[in-house]
Amino acid sequence: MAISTAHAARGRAAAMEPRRKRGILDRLADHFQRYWQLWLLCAPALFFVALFAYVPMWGIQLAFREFEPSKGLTGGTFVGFQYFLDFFHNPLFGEIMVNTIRISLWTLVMGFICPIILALLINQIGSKKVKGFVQTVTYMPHFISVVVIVSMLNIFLTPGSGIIGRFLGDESLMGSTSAITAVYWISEVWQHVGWNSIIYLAALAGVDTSLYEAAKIDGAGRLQLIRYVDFPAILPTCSILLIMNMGSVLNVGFDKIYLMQNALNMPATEVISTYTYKIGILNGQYSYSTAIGLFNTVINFLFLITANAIAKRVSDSSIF
Amino acid sequence: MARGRVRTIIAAAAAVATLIPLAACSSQEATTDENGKPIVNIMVRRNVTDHPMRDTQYTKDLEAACDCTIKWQEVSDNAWGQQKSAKMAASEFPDIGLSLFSMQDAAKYADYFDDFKPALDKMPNVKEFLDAQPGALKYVQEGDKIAMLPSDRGKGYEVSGTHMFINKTWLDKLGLQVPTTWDELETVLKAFKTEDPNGNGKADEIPMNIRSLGFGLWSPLTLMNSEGVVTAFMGGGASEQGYYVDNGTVKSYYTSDTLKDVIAYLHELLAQGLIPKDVLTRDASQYSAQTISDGKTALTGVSFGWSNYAEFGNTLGEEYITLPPLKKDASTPDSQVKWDYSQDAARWAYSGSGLSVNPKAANKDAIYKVINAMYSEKLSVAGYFGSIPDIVSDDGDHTYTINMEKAYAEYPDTRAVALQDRFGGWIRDDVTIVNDTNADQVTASDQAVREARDRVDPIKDVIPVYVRPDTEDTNTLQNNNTAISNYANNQLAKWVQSGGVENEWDDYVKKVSEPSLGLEENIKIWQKWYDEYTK
Amino acid sequence: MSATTAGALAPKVAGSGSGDIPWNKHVRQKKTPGDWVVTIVIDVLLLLVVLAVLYPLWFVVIASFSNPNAVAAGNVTLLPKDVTFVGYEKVFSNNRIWQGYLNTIIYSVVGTAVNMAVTIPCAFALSRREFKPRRVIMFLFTVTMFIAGGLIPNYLLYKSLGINNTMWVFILPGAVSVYNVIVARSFFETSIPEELHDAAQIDGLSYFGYFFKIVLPLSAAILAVIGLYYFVGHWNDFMTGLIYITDDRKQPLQVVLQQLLLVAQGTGTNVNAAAQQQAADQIKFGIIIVSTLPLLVLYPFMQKYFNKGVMLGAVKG
Repeated sequence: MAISTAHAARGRAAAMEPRRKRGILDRLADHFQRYWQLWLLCAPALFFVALFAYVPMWGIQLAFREFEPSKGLTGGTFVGFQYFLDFFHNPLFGEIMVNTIRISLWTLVMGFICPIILALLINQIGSKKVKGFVQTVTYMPHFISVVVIVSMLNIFLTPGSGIIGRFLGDESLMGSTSAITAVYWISEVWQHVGWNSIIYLAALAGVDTSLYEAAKIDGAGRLQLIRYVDFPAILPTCSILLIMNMGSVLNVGFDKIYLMQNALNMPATEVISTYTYKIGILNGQYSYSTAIGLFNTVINFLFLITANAIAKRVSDSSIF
Repeated sequence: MARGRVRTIIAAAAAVATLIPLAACSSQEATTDENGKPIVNIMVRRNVTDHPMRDTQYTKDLEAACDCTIKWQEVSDNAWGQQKSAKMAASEFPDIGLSLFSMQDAAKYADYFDDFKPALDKMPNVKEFLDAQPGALKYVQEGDKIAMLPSDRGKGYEVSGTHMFINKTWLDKLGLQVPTTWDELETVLKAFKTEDPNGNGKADEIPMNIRSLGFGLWSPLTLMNSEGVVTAFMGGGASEQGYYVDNGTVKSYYTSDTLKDVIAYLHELLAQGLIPKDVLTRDASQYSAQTISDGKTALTGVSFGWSNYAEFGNTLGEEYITLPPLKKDASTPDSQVKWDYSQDAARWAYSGSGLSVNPKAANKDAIYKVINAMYSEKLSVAGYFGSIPDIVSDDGDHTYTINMEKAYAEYPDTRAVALQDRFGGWIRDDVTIVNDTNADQVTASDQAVREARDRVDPIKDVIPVYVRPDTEDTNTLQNNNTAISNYANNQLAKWVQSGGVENEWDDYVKKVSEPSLGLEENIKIWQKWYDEYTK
Repeated sequence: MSATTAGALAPKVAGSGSGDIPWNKHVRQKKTPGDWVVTIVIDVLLLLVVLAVLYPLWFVVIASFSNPNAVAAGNVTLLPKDVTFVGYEKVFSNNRIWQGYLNTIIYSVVGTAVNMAVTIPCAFALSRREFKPRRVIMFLFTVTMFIAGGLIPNYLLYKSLGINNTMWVFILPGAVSVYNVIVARSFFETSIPEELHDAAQIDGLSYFGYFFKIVLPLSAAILAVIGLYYFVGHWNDFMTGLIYITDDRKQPLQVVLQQLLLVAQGTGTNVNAAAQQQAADQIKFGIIIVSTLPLLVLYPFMQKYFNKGVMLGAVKG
């Protein structure tokens, strides 16, 4: 239906070069004329994001207002940053922040590195059947529910009878404040490493096989093939995912850590998400929990923006 | 250029068109059925896998009483927990809600909770009930307003929620007496551990088993009653947050020497292997695997639970009796030994219960008729246990018999065929229910603690469950408690696990009393409301 | 990691086709015994990974057939104990399960179709470097990954749109996953050579033509990955049904299964707590198998596409 092509548009752009200073309307019209197809391609996504992500954001003002149900969700008295200050002055604040950052950083770093290594390893398998088998097996744990994962942890770590616990004395690791972080991130990596390696495997699938041949002819060893052919192929994906991961520095998924909590490990397992749950859902203080949540996202967003800015400087992969 | 612009405009218009919001089409729900009869919507929190209420004779009986059509909506505990805040904020309140809201909700969303007081004349059964149970009435009053209606599941449930069980078969086999003090219990537990009371030749006995260390149902901290510090670990009252009253003065368990004694004792048992070492990290499955065992060979000597059959299963349950409340030592006077005072909660204030009505509902008269019918003798029985005559037979003279085969087909209680504890109704004291195994069993389990519990003064020794701070104070209490329990519960657990309570207790008391944690503030708040409700 | 390497190497790998291989000068000319070491290390590592993953999976399988008490007591390690099918009987005797399966399949298929139709074109548009507004759009998208209105505003919005308690609540609100847009976009940016676009322009193709005729056919791998992400997301979606669906017949499989599991939760005093716990334990592991089996069947099928090394071959052709 359209005759206009970018090519033609480019030509016109060149022709218009001399009269740069045109009215904004003209420039807009020109822009749309050139890119209306791109606009159309992203219009549905824009629409959905606007409707389902931006419209509900009016609820965020709850963090600055006292929640008074009789006046509607956001009709309460404006209290400014009071709920934020409440949180900062909370005797648990320090502990919660330290726990959150410790657990999430471990999970983040290991959860970022391990899938890359696994993908590179799987890519080394020659036999198609074995490759498929390994891929399928490592991908399966992703589908086990958190409830079952935590029960399995409990069973495996039981002193005396558990397949790991029997080697570890008569107290379970689940009660140890020093070991619980490791229990958390190892099980997390175990569960998701296969799933998260899929994206890298897809990127590796894109590597031109002639590159390997060329490299082999030039005498590259196996390690060199990985280092100089495979690794560069997944690097752009890695950096994008790393940037996005940086945006979850304060995120520790709620379900699992909540199920893992017990009186013994509590000083190491109370994190922002569990605290918000206790305050918001169990105690019904929506304003307070919204404020904590907002604090959380703002910090995360700052991390993401920083990571993005760094990435933009040192490489050309960035999100925006 | 002109053609380009037209095309641009068309493109822009197309883009905008996709941005037009989807047409909303939520039609107003009908308030009358096709025959012009009023519709009453009832929402109940219940296992949605159970027999649906709409198919029951109970519903037909209610409909006959109100000359209306009843529409049930059943929601699972889990789903309701997620939906509740959103539904309340969206002002979606059902005409009649069963077991959906708490009194805290009724205080916050006062506009959406009908005042039953002016309507009591239309509901003579309800009026009679509230006159007969003044404690229940206090529980649901918000100022002068009756914001919810409690339910009463009858004298069969006027029991403590927590009992301590001991394996009588083991005692007899080893020729031991039922222990009466902490020291005697310890001696018995040692024998359980070493003398193979279950006779399978393996040292697999668990002398004593505990679930957790909280202030709640089935906690070993009920041992505090041995020194006269009364607990009421049910119904979400002050006791479950860690507060009690000593002759009119509110105190906290957290700083009481009695708690220190119990913790030290539990550690003594755990250190000797009389309580499993991993007890504080296990989940519920692992716990019940040990109490129920394989259903043939008992593994557990002593534990805390609801009734012996509920705790150990129908076969092994036979082996257990309730341990009468222990004295701390032989010198403790009998009069000082108390027991968990939770019978009010067990009877009518179990968690999240209550019947609410939306004041903006369309057919108020029909609603009141439904509620009045629910609180009649016959339909109260039918609501709790099962429809009459399908599942429960009316034998006359206030006696009802549950048909065991039909009612207990799926569960050990009548949960699948009736509303059970999510009902709205009043089982009167003169009603006799035959075959209510749950009540029969728990009442039997309760006999051994009655004497001790009768020594509890319902006002001077416990903060009654109907003492309810207002919304603002509740928030303060909860925020402080989150901080207190985060620190203190961990300390208690650590001491039970590794000892050291004697040396570290004083430091702990100092730390837990620091103003930043808010323990003093909480005690003051509870004192204020305790005085207000009991003066 | 050195991001500069990425900058330097990535385009060369992607845009290769010339015979110039930059690492040529760094590599040794002969195979070394070191290669054997590397091979052995790789194989051993993979073996360890597979074992570490396989055992817990095996455990889930045997636990689903075993007496739940034996499982919780730690008596089940390598083989099932007191084999019982009660758990599976309980799951399958519930006729709502089939309705749940059907619902989940419908929601997942329709949902994924909508997701793909919305996400992929958008990712493509945003991958065009000459499309200046893309930075702003990306930023606005990314913001939504962090800042969300929360449950209550969402509920009110869906209510006013009239999608509560309809299948659309599973499909429309999650139509765009920004995460997936970013992943797909970076794929288009880095793996589809810019030369192709130039060639398309010379052939007089519009963006539509370039996207549909050239980019899409070259993107089987990323389409498979994104499709899988979305499909699995729908398949495992549990909260949506729990919060926004009140009509039981519309509940997806995950909710139906959870309801079976959560029968055990009671107020504690009117139920035979221990027996209920057991009933739940009985089906806890079996549920995983019942709900995951279809996805395991799906995966090898998708795998085929991951292994299609298409993009670079096309450059040369």
